[in-house]
Amino acid sequence: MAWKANPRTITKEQFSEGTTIDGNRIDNAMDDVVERVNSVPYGDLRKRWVPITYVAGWTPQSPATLEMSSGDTAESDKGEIAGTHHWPWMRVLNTNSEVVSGTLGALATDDLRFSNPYRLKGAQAPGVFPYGRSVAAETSYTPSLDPVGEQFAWTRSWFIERPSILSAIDLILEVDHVSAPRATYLNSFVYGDVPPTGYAADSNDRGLVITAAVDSEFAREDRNMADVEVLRRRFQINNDKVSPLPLAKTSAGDSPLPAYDDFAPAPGISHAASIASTVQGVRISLGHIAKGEEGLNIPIHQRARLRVSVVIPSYTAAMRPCGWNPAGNSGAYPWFQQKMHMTVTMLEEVVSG
Amino acid sequence: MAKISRKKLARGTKLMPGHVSDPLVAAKTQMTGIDINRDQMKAPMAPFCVNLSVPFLGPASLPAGTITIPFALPPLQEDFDARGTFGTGAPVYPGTLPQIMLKSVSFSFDQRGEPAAIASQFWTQSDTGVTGKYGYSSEQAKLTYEDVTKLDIKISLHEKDQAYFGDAYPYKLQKELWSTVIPESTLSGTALRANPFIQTDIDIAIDPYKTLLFTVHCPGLLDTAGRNLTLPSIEVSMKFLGELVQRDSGEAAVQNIPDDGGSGADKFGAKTAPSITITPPDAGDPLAASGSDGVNTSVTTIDDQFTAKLQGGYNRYGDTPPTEAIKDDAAYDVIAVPLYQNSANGGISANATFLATWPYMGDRDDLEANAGLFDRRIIPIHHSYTIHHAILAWNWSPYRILNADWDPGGTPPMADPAAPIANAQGALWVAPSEDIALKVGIGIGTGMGADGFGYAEVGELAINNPNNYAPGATPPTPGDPDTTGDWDTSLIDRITSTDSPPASMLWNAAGDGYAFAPKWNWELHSIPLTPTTDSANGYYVQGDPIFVGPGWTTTKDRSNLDGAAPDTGGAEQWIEVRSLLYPSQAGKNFDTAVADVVADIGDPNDTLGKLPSILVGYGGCYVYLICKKHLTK
Repeated sequence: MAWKANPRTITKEQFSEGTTIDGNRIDNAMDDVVERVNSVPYGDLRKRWVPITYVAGWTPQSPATLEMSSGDTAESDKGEIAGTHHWPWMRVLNTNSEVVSGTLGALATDDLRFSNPYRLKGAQAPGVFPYGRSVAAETSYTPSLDPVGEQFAWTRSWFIERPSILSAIDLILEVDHVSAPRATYLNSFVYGDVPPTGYAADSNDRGLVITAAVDSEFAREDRNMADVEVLRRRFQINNDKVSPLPLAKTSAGDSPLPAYDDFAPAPGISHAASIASTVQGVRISLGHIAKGEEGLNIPIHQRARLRVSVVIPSYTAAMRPCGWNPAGNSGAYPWFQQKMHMTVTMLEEVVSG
Repeated sequence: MAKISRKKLARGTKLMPGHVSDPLVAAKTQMTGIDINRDQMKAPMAPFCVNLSVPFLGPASLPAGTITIPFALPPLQEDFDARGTFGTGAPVYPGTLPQIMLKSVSFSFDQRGEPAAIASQFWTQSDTGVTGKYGYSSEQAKLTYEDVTKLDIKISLHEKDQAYFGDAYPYKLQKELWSTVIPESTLSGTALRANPFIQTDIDIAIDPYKTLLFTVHCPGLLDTAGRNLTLPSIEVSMKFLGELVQRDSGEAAVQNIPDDGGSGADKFGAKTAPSITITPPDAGDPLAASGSDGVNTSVTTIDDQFTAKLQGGYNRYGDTPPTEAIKDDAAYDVIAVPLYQNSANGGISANATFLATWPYMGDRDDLEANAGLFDRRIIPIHHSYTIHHAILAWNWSPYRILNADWDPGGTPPMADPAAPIANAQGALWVAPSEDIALKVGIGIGTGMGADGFGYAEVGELAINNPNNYAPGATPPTPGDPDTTGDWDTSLIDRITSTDSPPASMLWNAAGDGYAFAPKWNWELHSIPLTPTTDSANGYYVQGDPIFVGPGWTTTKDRSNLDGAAPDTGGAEQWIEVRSLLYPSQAGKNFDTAVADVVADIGDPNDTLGKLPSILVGYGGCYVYLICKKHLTK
């Protein structure tokens, strides 16, 4: 708290028995009182923040109906269903192979210097080396060349005009009940028989990364200089299940009854009903609060450029099948294995207009 | 106008007790009357944002590189003028209606941290990479530094009168409130790029009874040489300021509101005033500094309230302070919830090949009978709100399936007989069927990471027959494309937002064949709050505002929701929005529902029924939760 000459808030005037007094001092004191009550500064409000919610999410293309493991890039097979796009997921690495073939920068010999070859800080996941991996053995050394596996990032960004507080980031990766009819999204978030080095086969996957960063004030386009405000990585995704309960696969009629049909439209299979299952999957909450805590509570300075990123892995063929890369035609499409829900909660102060 | 005043102590004035005690008593009365309102605050406005998240915008939209998104900011229930009838009358603006002002617009998309554009899945330039005529390009999502010069992006905000208040077909936009162009030069710099872009200090007053429409227009996404581009991960954040308002209270007036709080039992949001005593000197008594009626004592009493800071609002558990002095401790808020976004082809079509890209629909050769398009959003909440209105923005915007190029001699992206007309590979008209129904539900849920699980319904919309076909009768015809029917029981507005609206397949004037008429891109529907038999204010009959917020032991007991104790037990953790568009006749799927009607309507070869008509327009739909949020910390 800043030093001040007196302990009062509303006026600096004090009156005591036996001390001098004149009308001006009383006048000043009353003027201070009236001014303060008629024009209450926002700092006098115990609570002066309001929440602002940024919601995003989608149901991706059905991996169940893919008829090809990749599109027919020559012409497109007529009528057959391929994975059509992977927006908004894009590889984390910016290098020559990530430049459109035949355009400037696609060749290593081109005169182009990437601004941000590594556009996310601290996003490495076990078993994935998007920038390549050098291996030293007793008698040999293999330099880092090609990527090992891939990582795809979904980045949301905003210009934060006024001082704000990043209160929470909630990411829900929703899947279907494994026994639900026509179950489509079935990411188990478990490694396959060939896990990353140091992890057990079929153990919980740790390849998801969530991070929020603010661009540097002095080098705004240099992501190396960005301030990482929060980063969660190398955690067991399955430890954050939506519910520890064995939720039913559909709504009414199943046991236990989670009352999914307490509001319509209810999931389940019947005429005029959907076929999605009950809510399964994981919820990763940065800022989920226990009693007495205040969420993430990360101050974001004014005129900040805030970027929230989610990074998912796509493992090498040797590590498949696994949760992100299942068997079948969708094996190369980790973005098709779950439905996405993301909510970012910020706090902003009341303002004068 | 000043809330309290005082008599000035001019030189030579005889000092009277009132000179001192009157302003102090007035200050006390302000606080014990819980009457510190927005007029006497230096910061009387609270920000809220309409945040629109768009996973991608590509060249297949119509017009190319264009997406429009409507929304509305109707007054909260207590300020909403008495309910009228669709299509009649004009809105009334009482003098007490809190004002809303557009303050800034933030716009961003993902450039991968480079001064480059991003190649579309339809990048087809023949000498680059392995590209396909209809997508699946190997160059998708890659950088193209040479094409960043095409990224001139115009963003704008328009308004129009609502059909509810009398606007008529063709429901065109009426006024541009704001626009700007983000030139490519600001996106192609190495040292600094305006991404995210922001424009501040816009300061435009918003009419709460009009429809607003945000447009992103980047024509450079479509390239005749096949160098097609995409704007991935668009984030639009329109910041508005709304005046602080009183929070909701009352067991009968607010559903699901906590019975108890820090201020005591059975409060239902009502406030408890602080106890403050100012004792004016008796007449004839000399003014003293100390003592119960001393000047210093009285000033200190008031000062103590400000030193401890003035209380109001809710904490994160829906709990109130023991005592409160602030009258206006709530504010307008909007939670924008996307639905049916990021689909395989930009929108969702009734044609089997494209319909099967949506989950649970079955295979393209064997569609699941009765299966509907289901989507939901789960929105975890960390603060308390009262929901006042819910609005559905339903999208019929056309698009080009797989970016097909209308080349009659070209190769269609689907083999016969699925698409018999090579130059008609667009989702250009609304699925022609009377057997299409829609349910949109809003619920609140509890049970994440917990040993209980439950939902309660907040609102529901159930409508059907989007074209207002009248089986056995001839209307609608191109002469009256604006009929209303079972699809429009909660209609707020229809919006023609571009020069390329979709078409409606209607009966011709003679009633013996089909004809087409321009439809509209978007519709706004009110989603009535539960219970729909209540008479709370809004566009249509709906229930009172519904409190939603995390609770704890003190705030778990709630007022009734829809006439009964809420199933969430006062521990809401998330809001959930669900939507289901489904074939309403038992045993049908969308494909047959469309084909049947097309045959009935006079297409002898059922040709048109096999084309990819629109179930959900390009870019998907939105639900807007119009809420009152509270001051918090």
